[in-house]
Amino acid sequence: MTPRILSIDDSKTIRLLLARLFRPFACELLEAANGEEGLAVATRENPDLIILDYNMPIMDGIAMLRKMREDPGLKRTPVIMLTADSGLQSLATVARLGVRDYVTKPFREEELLAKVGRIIPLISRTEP
Amino acid sequence: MTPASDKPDLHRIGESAFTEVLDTLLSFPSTIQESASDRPASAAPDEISSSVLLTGQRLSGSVNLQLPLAFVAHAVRLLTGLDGDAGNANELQNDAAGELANMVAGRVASQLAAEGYPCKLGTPSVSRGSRLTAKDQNDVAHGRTELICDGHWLALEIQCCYTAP
Repeated sequence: MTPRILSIDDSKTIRLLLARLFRPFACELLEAANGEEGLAVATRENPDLIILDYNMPIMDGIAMLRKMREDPGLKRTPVIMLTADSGLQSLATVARLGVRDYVTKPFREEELLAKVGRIIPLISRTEP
Repeated sequence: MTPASDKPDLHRIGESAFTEVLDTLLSFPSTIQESASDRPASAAPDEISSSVLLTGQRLSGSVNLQLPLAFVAHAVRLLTGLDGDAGNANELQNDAAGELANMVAGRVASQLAAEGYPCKLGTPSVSRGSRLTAKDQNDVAHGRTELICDGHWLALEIQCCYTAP
């Protein structure tokens, strides 16, 4: 079954960047622009991995993570957090909420692919 | 007011944050311009300004970028694979300029936190056709960085107002 990744970021640039990054791989990319939308999509689609921005309007990444951890259907969904702030305070917060990994923006594309590949299989579309 | 010697070096922080973001995100090497006097008089309508507010217990301030539209369009093309010059690309250019400011502000905030001034980032705001100008106020510290990147002249201005602990 094709793995599904939900990208939640208020920046359209980042969502398009991730779409370009994962296009060569056999996976389906879902999108949302804030935590509230993301929670609705995650509940409906049950993705295999969520790539979640930390700082967003309406509902930020931390608030969405807290909601996910209270939801039996989502509490085990792996999350990679994207954050522009690599300060210890924000990293400690996301660690407490059980994120699988984090990536500081800006990131090297190969770094994010490696971290995603440790959680879900990333198989090239050109492979047999 | 906090003694001057205790205050972070905003120029050094900005220079490091700006060059790291450009190198990591776009693989663009950049050259720091030590003097602003050589700056070409490009028309402000061809530029985008993006800002992120910094808010903490010991400081309030902002990180402001000034970017030529042509640079932002090129960055959009590299990041998303889409045509950053297309007629309907304004929204995407604004978003990319805001995200660049967000990333630079994130690096700046990390460094400020390491020097005892933790702060949170606001949501980026973007405007077109305005030029960054430093407000000459006694209680506001400034750090300005100008650099050449991929043939474009870019500017970063950090402003911080410190409060006593």
